[in-house]
Amino acid sequence: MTGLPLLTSCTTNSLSYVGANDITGSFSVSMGPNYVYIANLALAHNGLVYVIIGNNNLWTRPPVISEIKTGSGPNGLPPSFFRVLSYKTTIPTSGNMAWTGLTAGSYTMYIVASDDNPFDSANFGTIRSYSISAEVPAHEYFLAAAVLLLLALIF
Amino acid sequence: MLGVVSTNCQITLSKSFSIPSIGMEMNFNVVSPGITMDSFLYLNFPSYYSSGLGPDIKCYSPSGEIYCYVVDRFLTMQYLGVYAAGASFTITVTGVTMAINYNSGTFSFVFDADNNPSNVLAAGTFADSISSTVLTIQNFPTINIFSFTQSSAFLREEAIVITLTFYLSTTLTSIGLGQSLFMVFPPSFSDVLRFATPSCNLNILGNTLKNYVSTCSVRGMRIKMPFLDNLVLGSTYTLTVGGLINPTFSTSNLYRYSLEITDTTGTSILAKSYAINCNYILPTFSSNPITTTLNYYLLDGTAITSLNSMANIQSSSIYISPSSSVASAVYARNTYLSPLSNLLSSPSNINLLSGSNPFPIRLSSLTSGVIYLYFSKSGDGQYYSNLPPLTLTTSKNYFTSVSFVETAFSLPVGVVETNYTLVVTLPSSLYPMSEVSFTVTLSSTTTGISMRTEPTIISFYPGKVVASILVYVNDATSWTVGRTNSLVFTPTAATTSYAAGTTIPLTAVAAPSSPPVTTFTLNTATVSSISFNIGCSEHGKFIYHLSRNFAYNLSACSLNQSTTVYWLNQNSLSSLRVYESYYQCNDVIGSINVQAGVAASLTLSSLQSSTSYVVDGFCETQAGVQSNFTSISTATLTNGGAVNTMNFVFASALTTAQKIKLVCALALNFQVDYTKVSTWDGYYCSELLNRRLLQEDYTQNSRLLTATPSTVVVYFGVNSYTTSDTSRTNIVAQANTSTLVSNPLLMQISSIPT
Repeated sequence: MTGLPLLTSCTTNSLSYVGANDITGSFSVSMGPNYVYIANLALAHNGLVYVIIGNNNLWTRPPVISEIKTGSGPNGLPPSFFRVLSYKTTIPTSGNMAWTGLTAGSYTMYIVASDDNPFDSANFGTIRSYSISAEVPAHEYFLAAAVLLLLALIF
Repeated sequence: MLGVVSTNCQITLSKSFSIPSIGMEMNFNVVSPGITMDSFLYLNFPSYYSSGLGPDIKCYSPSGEIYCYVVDRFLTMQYLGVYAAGASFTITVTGVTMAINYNSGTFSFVFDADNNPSNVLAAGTFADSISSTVLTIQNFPTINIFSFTQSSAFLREEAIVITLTFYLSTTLTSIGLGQSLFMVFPPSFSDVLRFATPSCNLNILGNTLKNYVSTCSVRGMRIKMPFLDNLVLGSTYTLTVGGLINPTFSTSNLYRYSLEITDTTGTSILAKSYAINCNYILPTFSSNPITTTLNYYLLDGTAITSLNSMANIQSSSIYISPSSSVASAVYARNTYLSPLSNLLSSPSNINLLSGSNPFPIRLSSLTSGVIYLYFSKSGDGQYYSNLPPLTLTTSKNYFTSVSFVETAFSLPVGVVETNYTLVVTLPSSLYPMSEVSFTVTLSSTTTGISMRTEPTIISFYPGKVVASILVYVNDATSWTVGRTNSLVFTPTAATTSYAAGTTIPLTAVAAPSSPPVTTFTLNTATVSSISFNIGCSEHGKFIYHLSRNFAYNLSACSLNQSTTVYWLNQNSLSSLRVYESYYQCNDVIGSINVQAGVAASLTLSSLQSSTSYVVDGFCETQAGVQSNFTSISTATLTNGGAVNTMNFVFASALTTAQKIKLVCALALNFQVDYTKVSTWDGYYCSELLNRRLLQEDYTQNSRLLTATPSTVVVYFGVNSYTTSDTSRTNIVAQANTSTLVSNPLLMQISSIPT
């Protein structure tokens, strides 16, 4: 496999879980000035987690499963962010994810889990949605207020 | 009593290479009795010709090679061309072995306009000809071949180069411009030599600057090479012939290549090589051990190299398969076959897709004739051998009338203007290769029913073998229970594929007392089919729609009743899902005629294994009254396949292109269907077609924080297009070895293309 980075290890082949699967319990979706992260997300079985974020000004409706699977927004519109996580029940952190490309605006994050099967025979759980936006840190508010005050003093 | 139409037909004979034991060329100069592409010429040779006439007989008309075959000394030729009465043309028969004991005998011939033996066009006799030199040139000089090389001895290989080194004795008379060098091939090349496009070079040994031959053409089992200049006698020459194709099947090495030099007339041999004076043996042809052999098969596993069809009617199904177990064989590589330019086939493009089973292929042509098929293939990386040549002979249909699956209809009585829809279906043995049409009429106009459209013309195409006919009640007092009539199907002027039309009787029955009630239950499911029990309480048809059933979107492929009926009447479903590309619904819409209260069965085959389907069905009376929709969700049985996975950890994260490269490499390495190998994030080997790749924002990678970005989880899916999927067993056998897991570099340095 020339043209690829060094292969350091590989596992043996094992059967995938195929069947009903969904997110269990609660998990965290948190935001900061330029990031959003997911923590403590867990599935009932090994599976895949599809995370897609769309700009609310662009997406006029939520995406459906067929669109999410191909990393697309509604009617083929591009996402702001798309990622697939491979969740293993033996690795609790495999459901964690962070993205540091968040910019100012209003977004919706959609999360859906499937069984351990990326093919079109996959079994999906419920699509969950979360409104997100970049949070402006407090020091930026202080800086803006200081600039306004300075301008007022000058003029 | 045999009738003979023409008395003006004449045949005279001349010969080339008319030397005992040599394969000669016989030129039959014919004054036509008026023949078409459907005509036959039967030639009966005198008894002193050997049985079979020669090791390989080929026939040519002025327009090229024509179809002929020999039984004993009886030569039958077809598809000669079209020649008006009185027109002269020449038919050449090559490869006839001249008899050792030469006599002057008599040929007899018969021209027949068709294969109906009750009448012939012309018949007669003509005398054999004798060459003036036949008895004098028998001990001509010998060409001694010193050495021989052949670039490959593997069967079916192309672009073969043969090199022969031979000596021309000074005892020969001058040889040069106007004369020709012939290379004669053994009979094992009889099916492939016609497809060769040879290139030839004749040099004095060691001097490649001067080429002594010009063009290079195939005629029968010879390659003819006219000399460009006078040859230097007493010199050693090297003949290089390229662009050849090796034999299709292994044979004995009884015959060898030989060389002949002819005079300026091209009819007499001046010198030739003999096997006993040639210092070489013919290669022992064998299959290339690193390729898998493809052949043409019938469904029962019989290998074939010839196929018969009637003009514009699809032949019986043949299969291109790597083994005689056609039903269970699986293609391991995508392979594309071409050309199909002068051939009609169903399906129209013959693409062998990795992971799928061999599929039925039906061939034909629009007119009578013979097509020598030799497919060139691409896309498989020389994984498969070349296919053998296939001879497709197409004849005019003189005897088989059109017929339909439906043999009778029961038509309820009704009030005036009651409409009925009658559906007729062509049997598979009469599927057309291009449009055929029939005018439909009623045998009687006085029984109280009429055609809704005058004239009613129905058409059939490949893929559309069902047609609807509308009739209505025009006199309710005449169309009473027990009254009969018939639908008369007459081929239109442009439809010549069937010998005659047909009729289907209609019988008036009591009108239904209530809307139809549907009986629709699941019978059995196999890995590739689902059977149902169906029934309708009234005469009419059962209409069904099968589609994939996706658990996460149960309505993804659903259609309502009116939409189903609309698509039932369309020629093709190709535009049904034009606005939805994600769901592969695999729609099947059809109908079958049912009698009131008579149970019937419906079997939907060629389905994917381990796959969920939903089938919707309802009854519709001939008057158009529909029952309620009934849906059955079911699944085909598993073919033994299972989704499985492996994790690969690399020293650094892979780019999208590298992920695609990885899954392609794994598909090749494990020899599994490349469409069933995917990374966890959905990249396939065919991902270049996926719009997501085009939209990929590579900068996201640097901003994505995950625990193990360099781990690639690869999934191997179920190949549901086969009846038996052993791919996981194959993967486990290769992947779950302690050697590989402990030393993954073995995989990285294995035979993976860059």
